[in-house]
Amino acid sequence: MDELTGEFVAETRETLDRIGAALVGWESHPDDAAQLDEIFRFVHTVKGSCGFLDLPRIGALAHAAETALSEVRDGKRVTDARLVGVMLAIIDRISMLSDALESKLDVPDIATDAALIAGIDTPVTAVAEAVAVPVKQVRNVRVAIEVLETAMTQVSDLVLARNELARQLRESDADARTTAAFERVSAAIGDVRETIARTRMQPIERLFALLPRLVRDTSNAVGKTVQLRIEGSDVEIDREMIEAIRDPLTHIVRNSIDHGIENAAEREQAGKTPGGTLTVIARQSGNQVSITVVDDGRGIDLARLVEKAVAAKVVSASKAAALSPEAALNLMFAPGLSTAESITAISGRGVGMDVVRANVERLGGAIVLDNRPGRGLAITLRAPLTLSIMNALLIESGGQVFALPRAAIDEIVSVKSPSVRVEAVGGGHVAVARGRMLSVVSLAAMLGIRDEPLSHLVIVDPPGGNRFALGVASVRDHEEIVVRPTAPHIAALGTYAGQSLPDNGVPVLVIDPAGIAARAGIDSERRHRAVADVVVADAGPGSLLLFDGLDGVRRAMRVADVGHIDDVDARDFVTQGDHVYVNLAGELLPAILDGALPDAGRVVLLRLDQEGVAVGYPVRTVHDLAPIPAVAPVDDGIVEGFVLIEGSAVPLLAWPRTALVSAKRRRRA
Amino acid sequence: MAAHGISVRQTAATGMTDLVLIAMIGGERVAIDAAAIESVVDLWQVVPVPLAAEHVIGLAAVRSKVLTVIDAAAAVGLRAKATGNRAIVVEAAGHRYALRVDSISEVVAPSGPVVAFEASMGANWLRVARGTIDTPHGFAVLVDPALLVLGPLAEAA
Repeated sequence: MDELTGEFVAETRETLDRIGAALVGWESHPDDAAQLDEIFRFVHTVKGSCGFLDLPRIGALAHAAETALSEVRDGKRVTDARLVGVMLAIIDRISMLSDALESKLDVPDIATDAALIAGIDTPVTAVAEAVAVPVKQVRNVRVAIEVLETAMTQVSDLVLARNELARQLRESDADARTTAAFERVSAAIGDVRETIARTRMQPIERLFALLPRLVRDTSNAVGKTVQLRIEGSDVEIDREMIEAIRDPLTHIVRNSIDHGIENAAEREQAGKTPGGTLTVIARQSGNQVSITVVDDGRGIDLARLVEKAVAAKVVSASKAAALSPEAALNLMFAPGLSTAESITAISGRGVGMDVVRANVERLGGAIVLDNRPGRGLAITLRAPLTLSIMNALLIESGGQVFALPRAAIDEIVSVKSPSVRVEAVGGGHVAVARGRMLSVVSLAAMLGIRDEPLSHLVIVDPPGGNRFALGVASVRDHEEIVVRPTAPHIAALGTYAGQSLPDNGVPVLVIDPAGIAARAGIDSERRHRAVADVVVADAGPGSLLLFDGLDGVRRAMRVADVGHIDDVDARDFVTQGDHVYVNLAGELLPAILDGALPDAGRVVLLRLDQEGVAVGYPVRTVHDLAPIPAVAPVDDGIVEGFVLIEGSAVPLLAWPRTALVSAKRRRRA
Repeated sequence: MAAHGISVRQTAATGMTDLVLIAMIGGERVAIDAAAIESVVDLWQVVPVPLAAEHVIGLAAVRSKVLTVIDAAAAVGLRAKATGNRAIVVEAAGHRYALRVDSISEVVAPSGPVVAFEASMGANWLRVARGTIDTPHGFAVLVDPALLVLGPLAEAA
């Protein structure tokens, strides 16, 4: 299919979407001139395009419809139900034939077109037959939302009653026949609930209908040729969700065309077809829908992205050098960073991927990138199927059950697990898990209810915030809950995201992790720092961090021993007597020096946390991560041994233990 | 399990202010326009809302809907907590509330018109009251439940 035909198909579909209401309206009010005009314009445009594109079959249909409609407009023909029926059939046929231009569909024989056209003038049985042939229609009725909501409530009642009955049956030694009958009723109630829930669903096609036009307009504006392929448009998602992901999807598609797909010359140089291809795929898995936008463009040039990030001061040069490919790719989401070479009409104006990601996360979704440099980029937008049904973890704190949105939870660890250590530090608690230090926030303490021993840490990563460990008394189970807004009194507290009624009939409050973080004073504007943190977190405990000390000597440390890599100013170091301290965001840490500190500029600081004491270790540059090779042990208290990296022996520091001993001494001093 | 609803709405056939429900809040007799009342329920289990204002007792489920339970006495700035499980269900700004009161007597027709306050009443009563009204039970404060749910004035809280 050539480009112009593609445009015609897209345009026709777009218009059909728009005039759908006019068709319905004309059917019920045949005298409404405005509706008639709109339909007339449509067939007129189609006819014009068909002459130009050499599509005689569609052209003939459009011509016949136009002639009949203009006679109606001139008062030479009377609108009656039969004429409306024939017009609708012709328009449906046009729609079907134009769709068939794009994808190989079975179309009715051309002879039936003639029967349709003949139907305009002759009320014969052939018309009815022809009308019946082409259109595959799903029958719909309009139902007021309130009726659906009421049905939903009634089904919830039914579920609660069923659960109560189930409890009583379990306690009452009911005979097998009763139990079997109950099971059937119970299953039927479950089915009804599912069906009712489906009434809120619509095919994602409604969202995808805007894509052909969007792709056409965007590619025209930037002078590129882009072919669109759509898969999975029959996936059904919540009506509200369709609205909510419209903007993020639009943004991603525009970005892909503007930044991802190269112009024709560049593509040919790279041995590609001159026109790019954009594929949009919807898939449903469990309670999630994923929409993947794949382009066959240049992909993300990581080196250039990092360069730009450094230039935009999103990361420091030293930190940038230590970024893993994943962490570097994540820079795409850094605020204020555009990968566009220049500002075009379409993108590069500052509203960036950071906003897109924040919006998607607000819905309880996520964005995943799959970069294939030189070959393209796949951006997957994952979102829950519905806004109102949430996957929640039920937890207990202060003798009360709360729900936590599953989407915000990274990990649940028992405080007894060997992989986590909880330490009291300066009146609060920190947990060290997988080489990362996290603030521990006791939910009960935060909510001002009775304090209690914590059994589990729920590691949460609220949208736009920093990860932290939420301490709870016990973890119950997962449940799908219908979340409703709380009364304004409660919403204003900022700690609750909603309320719900789980199957046991006792209301629960849904905790808003971001609100708890804000209440606990955990800085929520530190996203960019998380970019660097990814290095450590993703590396796993079995990796080495290679760096050059202030004395220029290359050294290594176990990643598990390094809590954070921070970027500090040289002026943040203070000397007191023999000791040097570093001011890290208001916290004064003893510093370990292996060389002279620079007088000015930025310094990379490794923050080492061990046994409740933190020390700062300034270094010149952080190089790389490497798997731990064989260690030749030395153990002189400071150096654990030597490792062979690229042919040279590099000392592996046994810190922090010995370092901490001296740090403690310094503290006492 | 949850509640035995007494529908008050049917008795207020015209939907106008002819009928009022008589209840006691903090030892004070009040009247509430029956047309504004959805039902009277017995609360089964109230889940507290940590950090919420004092007059927000918690959440309760009535017929599969979650209601915010308000202590009516605390909402007019009284220290006395309402006793008992009876609550009056009202809707305000799209949310449903259960007003817990000391006791509920019955729905009556007022014996006279609404009279503006002259007596010196507390600021919180003035905030929620539309006047006083004579009833077969004696004089009562005519309370607007939508104002009551908002809670006491800031300085009284």
